[in-house]
Amino acid sequence: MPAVAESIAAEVVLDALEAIGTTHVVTVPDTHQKTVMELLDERGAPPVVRAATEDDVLGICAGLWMAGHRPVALIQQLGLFASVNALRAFTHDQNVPLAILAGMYSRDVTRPVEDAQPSAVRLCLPLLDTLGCRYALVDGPEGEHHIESTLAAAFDEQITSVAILGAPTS
Amino acid sequence: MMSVEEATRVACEEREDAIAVLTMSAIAYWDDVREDDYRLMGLMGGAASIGLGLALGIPDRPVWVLDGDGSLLMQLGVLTAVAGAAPANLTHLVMDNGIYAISGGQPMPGGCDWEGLFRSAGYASATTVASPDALRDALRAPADGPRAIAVHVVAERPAYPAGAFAVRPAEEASRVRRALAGARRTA
Repeated sequence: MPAVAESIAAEVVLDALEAIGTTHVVTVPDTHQKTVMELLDERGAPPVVRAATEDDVLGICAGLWMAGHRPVALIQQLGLFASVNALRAFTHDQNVPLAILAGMYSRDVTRPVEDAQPSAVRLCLPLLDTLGCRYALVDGPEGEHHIESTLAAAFDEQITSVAILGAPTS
Repeated sequence: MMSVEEATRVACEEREDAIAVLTMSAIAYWDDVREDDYRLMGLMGGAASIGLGLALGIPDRPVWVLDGDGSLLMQLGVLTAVAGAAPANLTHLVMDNGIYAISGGQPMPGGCDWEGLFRSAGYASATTVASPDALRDALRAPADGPRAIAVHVVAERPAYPAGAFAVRPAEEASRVRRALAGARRTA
């Protein structure tokens, strides 16, 4: 079956992070963004803060935001499920906007996400709908401009925003 | 042994220009809430990660996290994030009473050697105190962080004063952000 999601280059992702003035990348590693992480390490900027759980990633981002920075959480979408209480609390109760870049782990790139067998893929966008987060599913180079616009919205419009990469980066 | 009220008040008296991140019982007894103090309600376990973000974001200000033991246990992995990032300006206090005080004083699932946990996670220093004077000494001791202080407090639910947790979560983060931005402008 033909792919409905294609890779985008790690350079494109890092260029988007640079374009929005990302000051820190806070992460639990993401399989889909392996090449992004490698390129981040190679470039040495923005600084990477490593955490053990996505709850902590979001908390660190919240603290950095309060301190006047523009952090981006780099996680996989399973982490959205894992950190749903933190995502809910920061987004709705604490009024802390989060910028999140998440890979769609275990996604079959030949199928639309709504038809996916893994629940973590099929239920990801409905979860974000439920939580009132802005999001964009980036399924290839045609949509890569959404990475920058979606993440920028977190800081410019003060709304939690999630850019989801539908295929592994190259 | 001291009460959580005494311990919190000692820390408040000693804070000088530290930014305080408060959660659980410490919120009830922190008498000097400044514009850049953050009181975390409704997200048990999140104080240390928020404090870590603040400490990394403002390296020239001390950041003190006043945590609960039940709270910290919910996100224990944060100790490794703190140790890995190693902010020299972070002080992490955990009020060790062995109970879930706010929810009624129910016992925690087991005891913790907090000093040992902090040390093994990689904090630059960790100590245990059980009296107001020892806490004061620990807070005054010069030490590059991240440093941890396990504070043994009595295992009983305090009689919280009325309105002790009257925090508006929606205003906390924005207020802190504004205050810190204002401080940068006038620096």
